Amino acid sequence: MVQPPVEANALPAGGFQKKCGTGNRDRTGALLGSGIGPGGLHVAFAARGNRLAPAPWRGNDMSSDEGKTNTAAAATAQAGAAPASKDQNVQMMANVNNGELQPPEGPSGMEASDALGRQLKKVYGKLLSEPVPDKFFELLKKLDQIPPGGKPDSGSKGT
Amino acid sequence: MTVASEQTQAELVAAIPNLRAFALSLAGNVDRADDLVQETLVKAWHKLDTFQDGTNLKAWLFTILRNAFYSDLRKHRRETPDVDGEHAMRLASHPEQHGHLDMQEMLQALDKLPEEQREAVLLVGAEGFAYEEAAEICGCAVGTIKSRVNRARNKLAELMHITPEDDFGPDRLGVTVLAAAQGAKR
Repeated sequence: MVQPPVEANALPAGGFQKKCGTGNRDRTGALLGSGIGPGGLHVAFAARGNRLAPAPWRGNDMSSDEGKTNTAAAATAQAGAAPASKDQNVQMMANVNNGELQPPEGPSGMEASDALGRQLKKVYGKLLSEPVPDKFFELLKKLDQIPPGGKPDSGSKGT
Repeated sequence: MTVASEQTQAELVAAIPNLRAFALSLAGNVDRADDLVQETLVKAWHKLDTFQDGTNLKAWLFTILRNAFYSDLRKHRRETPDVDGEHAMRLASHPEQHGHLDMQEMLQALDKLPEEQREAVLLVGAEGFAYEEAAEICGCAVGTIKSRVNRARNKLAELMHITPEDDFGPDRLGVTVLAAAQGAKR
């Protein structure tokens, strides 16, 4: 049976996030075209490591240099953490639907080794590598002023 | 200090690129996608006390985003009866936004799928959710998700002129028969 080699980008959940941390700067801006400076996304991912940095929207300085230096560490920490949490997730889902479920399948649920799957992941990976516009960090910073589960509207954009 | 753990907050931030990618794939429009993500973050924040630490935050966020999308869509359709092809037109009219040709081709192919197939193949095939998780997010049975993913894959392969290799193609049988024949010879 012929099995095409699994590409590096055919990762289980969490893989894309890790890839994001490495940043495809040459490609960014092509799709969502936001033109945001390099700070945002990298700082976000720096905060994702096991030893958590302060939430990016909390700090006064969103220094892009700091974001860059932390990126590698965050990506590594994530790589280690991903499989455990994935198991947990699958377990959780299996419990929720107890009775009507078949046993969980492979991590992606779809063979990643075929051409279509690779292409789909490649395109989606490009979307994922887009820098996050600052407005999202500003929103989270605003939300952080109110306790989670607090009254709606105080942090929304008024829609 | 807020109630949400630092871990949860960090996960919230880390999920933003995924939420944007999924929202863009659903809405086909960057502004609308970003509105959806903002709406999702605000809703999630206000419901964060109902979220259990240690469970799947990303799947939970995707569920919120998906619900927001369909609720907006229903509203929108009531207000403007004919939106057929609008999604496709928006995608097609901004080719420069999408850069690479293969990317544009894939987005246009995705756009030709029925909504429920598009989201199924994105959640499972692109985002990497298990069938069970995708079923949770879409509020349907696991078997339904599996069949939607299969139909979406077949349709995408056809639109993009990709021969599905392992699971569906005739090659699998051919190779198996060949291998059996070779085994028999020895």
